[in-house]
Amino acid sequence: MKLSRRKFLGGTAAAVSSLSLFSFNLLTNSSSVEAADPTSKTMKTFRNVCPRNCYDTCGTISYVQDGILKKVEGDPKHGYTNGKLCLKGYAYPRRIYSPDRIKYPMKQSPRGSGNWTRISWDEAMDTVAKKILDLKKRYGSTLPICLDTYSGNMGIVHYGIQGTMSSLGYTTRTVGTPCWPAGIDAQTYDFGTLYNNDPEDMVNAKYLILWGQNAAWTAIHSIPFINKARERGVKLVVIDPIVTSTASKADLYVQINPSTDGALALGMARYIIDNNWVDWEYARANSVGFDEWVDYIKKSVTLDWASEKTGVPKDIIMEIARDYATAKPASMWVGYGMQRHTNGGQNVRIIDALGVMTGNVGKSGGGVNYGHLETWGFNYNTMANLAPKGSKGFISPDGKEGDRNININNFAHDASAQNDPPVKMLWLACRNSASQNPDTHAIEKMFASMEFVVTVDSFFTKTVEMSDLVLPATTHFEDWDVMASYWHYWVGINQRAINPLYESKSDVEIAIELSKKMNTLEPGSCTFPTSGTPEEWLAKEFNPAILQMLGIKDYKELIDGPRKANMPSASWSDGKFRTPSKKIEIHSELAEKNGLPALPIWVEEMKTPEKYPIRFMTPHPQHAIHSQFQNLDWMMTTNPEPKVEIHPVLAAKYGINEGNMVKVYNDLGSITVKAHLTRTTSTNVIVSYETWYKNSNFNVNYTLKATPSDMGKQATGNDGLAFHDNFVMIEKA
Amino acid sequence: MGDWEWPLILFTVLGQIAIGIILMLWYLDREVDQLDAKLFKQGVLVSGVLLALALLASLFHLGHPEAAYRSLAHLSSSWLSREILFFLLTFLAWIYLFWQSRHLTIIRTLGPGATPITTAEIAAGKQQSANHSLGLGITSILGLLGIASSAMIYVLPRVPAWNNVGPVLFFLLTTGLLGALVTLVLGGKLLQTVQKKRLLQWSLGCTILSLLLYVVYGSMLNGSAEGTASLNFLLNSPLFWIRALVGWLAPLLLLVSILKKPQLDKTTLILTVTLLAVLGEVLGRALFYLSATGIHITALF
Amino acid sequence: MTKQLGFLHNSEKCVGCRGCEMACKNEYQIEATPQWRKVFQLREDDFSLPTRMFFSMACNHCANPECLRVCPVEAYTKRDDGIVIHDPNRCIGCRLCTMACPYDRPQFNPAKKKVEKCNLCYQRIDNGEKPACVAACIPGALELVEINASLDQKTGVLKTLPGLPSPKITTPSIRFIGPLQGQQIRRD
Repeated sequence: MKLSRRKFLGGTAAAVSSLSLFSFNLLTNSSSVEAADPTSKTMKTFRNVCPRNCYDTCGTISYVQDGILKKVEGDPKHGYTNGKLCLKGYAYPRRIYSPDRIKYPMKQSPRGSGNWTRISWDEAMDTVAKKILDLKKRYGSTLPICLDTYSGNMGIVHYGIQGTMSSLGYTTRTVGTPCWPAGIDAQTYDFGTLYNNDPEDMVNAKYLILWGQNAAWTAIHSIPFINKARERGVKLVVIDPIVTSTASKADLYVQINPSTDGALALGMARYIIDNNWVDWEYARANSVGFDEWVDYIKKSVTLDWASEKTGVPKDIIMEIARDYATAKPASMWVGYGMQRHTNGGQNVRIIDALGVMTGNVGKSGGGVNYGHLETWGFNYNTMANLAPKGSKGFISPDGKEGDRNININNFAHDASAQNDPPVKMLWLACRNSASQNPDTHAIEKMFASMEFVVTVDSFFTKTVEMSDLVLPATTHFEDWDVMASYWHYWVGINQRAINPLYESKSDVEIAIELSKKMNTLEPGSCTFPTSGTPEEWLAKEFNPAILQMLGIKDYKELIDGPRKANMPSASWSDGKFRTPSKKIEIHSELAEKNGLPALPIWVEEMKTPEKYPIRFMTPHPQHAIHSQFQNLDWMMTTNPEPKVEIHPVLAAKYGINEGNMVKVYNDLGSITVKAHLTRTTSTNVIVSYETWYKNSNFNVNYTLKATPSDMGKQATGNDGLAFHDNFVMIEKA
Repeated sequence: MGDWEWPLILFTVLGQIAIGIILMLWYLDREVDQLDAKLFKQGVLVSGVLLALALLASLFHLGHPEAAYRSLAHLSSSWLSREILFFLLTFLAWIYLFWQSRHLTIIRTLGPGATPITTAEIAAGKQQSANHSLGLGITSILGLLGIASSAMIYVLPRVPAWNNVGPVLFFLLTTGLLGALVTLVLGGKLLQTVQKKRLLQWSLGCTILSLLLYVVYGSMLNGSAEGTASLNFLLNSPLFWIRALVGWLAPLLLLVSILKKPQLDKTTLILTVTLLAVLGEVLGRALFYLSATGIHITALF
Repeated sequence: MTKQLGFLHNSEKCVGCRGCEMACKNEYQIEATPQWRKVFQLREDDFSLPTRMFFSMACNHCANPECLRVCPVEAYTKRDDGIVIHDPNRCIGCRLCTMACPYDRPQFNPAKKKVEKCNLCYQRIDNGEKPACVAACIPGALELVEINASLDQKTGVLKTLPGLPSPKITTPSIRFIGPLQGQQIRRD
């Protein structure tokens, strides 16, 4: 087409004017950036609690105007989180209103094609219910249906996910926890359960050891309590293979050989015994098997050995031992990272014993602090559904009929290995299996072998990408719920601050819909109640014991502010341990019965394989909780791409420069990721933070083998995962 | 490093050609007895079209072109405000020139074949000549002030590569070089040999000066980390070497040969030189923006 | 101008949690691209030990604001308390200020086609509240202060940190307390 000059000019002018006509600011409110006005009469506030799998479980205030969440703030009435939030917490409005949210029920055909079609809730429920009934008919039970759920939303009402399955019959369930079971078992063997001091009590410590704990990233609200102690001159010691942001602030940072924490604790114990700084009185009065352990140390542990094993100079071991034993009280915080090893639980047991030996257990300002579940005594009413009459279950070795439990930490293998009947359908909720499980290739294969996969989620995660059907989940701002923490002692209510967006529903509402549909198609096939408002479901979670613990008469009092459990600030201060012997079991017969050493003795760490000489550590990210948050545009701006941290010496060996793409691989698979050269790691450890980036296939778990940690079965049903015993090779990509 | 700033490249280069043409017409008008009226008319028209295009292009750089008029608001310290003011004044002066060129044409077309030229008319014509010299002069000066203001926009303490006399000289040299060459192309046979020669010499002078200045400028850049970054960017960019070849070397050789061998077919050669020089200046301007490295925060992430 | 408000950033306390960065976004619901405030990690090699050290920076409300000088539409004004305010209603998106600021703090918002920057939460300050970033800082590393001679005379108060542009360009209203490094027992 020929354009005359006049036409050209005219066209340009038109382009200019249309440019301004359709410029964004004319279509939206151009009065630009104005902060939400909290004093506005139309502004309403609601109490919410961040339900993520996180130490801090923050109390938040939601500012809502005309039904729209304008901003979030920390709840000043929450004594631990103190009116402030972390970067993820502040990103919530962006998460709620993300254009990437799943808005409607959708089906994908074929699975994995990306060819999604919007369907109605009725069609979605019809499809799922018919599939369930079909499987039940073909196999005579609902055991071919497998539930995988975990920590996507830790609100108590969300246990309705398990309740959904129970109401259908006996199903296959993933059991266990990937994160922290080895440490839980360690504390279960030693003390009867896990039970930490109130973290706010850290201010009373006279010496602080953070053992494999990166609070700056994973429990930021603890920092002010630690700092308060430090302002009094308290020394902060951080023991970690990586110079984390927390370690960077330490008075003393100790770069330990990974997985040798027990050896360091034993070396310290030896020096404490040699100098007679032992609190014999406390240890002997409160524990069983203490002297036996002391004898073991005297016979088998030397400082030279501990130094050799851990890579920590002898004089430093001596210094920490002296300071820890003589500062009374001294506090230890055992992070979850350090127990993600094949000897992780055993290492925690040794550290527990070190705390007992110095009389730091049961003391304010002391403790071997790992976590607790003391404030979790709710009714779990949404789970309480009996299987429909005539349901056939799995007969366990002890003759009981029930669900068929498989290992959450070996999901791919276990789900594929079932034969009688095989697993044919997956139901996933509060869980991004494809991102968070070990051996991603195996997970992909297992998913592909399924007849039907349903996922409930808010975003198109990798798991959703491998599903036939996705159901849009509400966020916690759209639900009623109650949240407890596994670290601090506060419990808070979560109000419905905004109406559910689009067509999203909560897990309980989905269960109600499914139940209606099931019972229409086959009366009596589902026992999940078909009525109740979200707030009514919440109300059913409270019982007199929990109300009393929180010092309230009615759950509605929580709307005035979160409540702290009425518990002493020092755990175990009453000396009533929950072990079989009612004492601290330095010698644990239960451990022995489970095939573990009875005593907290040294157990060798996993040896580095010759073929894959580099340890690949994949700790928790800063901008995300696992696969949540990093995909949001605010996070993608501030942290646009994954990196692998490599020590310059190691990088030089493989000819890798800053910013090069690096292939990280082993027998299971590989990932290609950009190199960041840093001396914050050591010469045989590379580090990349697990998470899910938007539009990226980055997933550290392609290289992660499902290696179990040593403990976890006793309290959580299955052993944990030795995430940090992952070995790889690297090359310039 | 900067971006590929098409609107700014077009605005500055086209604006500079436009004003360069007027400047050359003024120069021809003053130096030699008479500026050909047809050339005057053509030059003014082309200059105006280019100026309008330049101003139009500049709008595309703005997030909100519809509010461009507001850019006059901060004359007290903003060179951008001053630039826009001078360009608008230039445009007003151009309108006067344009009116004058149309008026003159009417007289000329009426002239031959009609009544003989009277002394009064001759006197009037001379008056006219003096008038358009004044108009050309005012437009040129306003335009040059506009170009200098354009350049001053980039004299930013934050950008060491720009924080010197460089931008002003570059912009003025572009004006001189392209103004002269485009006038040569427009003039063609309407130009007297002497005028042609002067314009060619002027172009050659500008090219040589531009090249020398760039060498001095380049060696000055090493004074700061950011300047070095700019220099390294330039030396490593193939565009820069194309620019050097097309914008300096080729015009230099061609201009010298045209001046040395009067028997050559000049029209095609002059057109070639002009096109090469325009391309060179456009690339040069693109590089001006691309190579700008500001002092910035250097952190890991 | 009767005083100059500004920030005091304590890198000794800052753990780089980026709460301030997101609190700022949350307060104004800023688009993804303009980052009014950003947390930077200091270069490892500038310090004797390899640690993770940070500083947080928004608009520095400079005593000699280049943004204000170059802006053709007078979108920038400096208040009596030294806060440099950008008025988006006047902005025409010429982006000259983004070229002139050595801290890259005025940033172009591609959705609105205008520049945006931190206005030091002047509405909050006028209500007697702390700026959103300061209020959100968990370790108490970020403070709102008056920049004056007595502050500069305090020991440990620095005008710049390694990797920052020279304060001579714009005289930024920010002061620092440098990072502190503890003892490290390392394996390399």
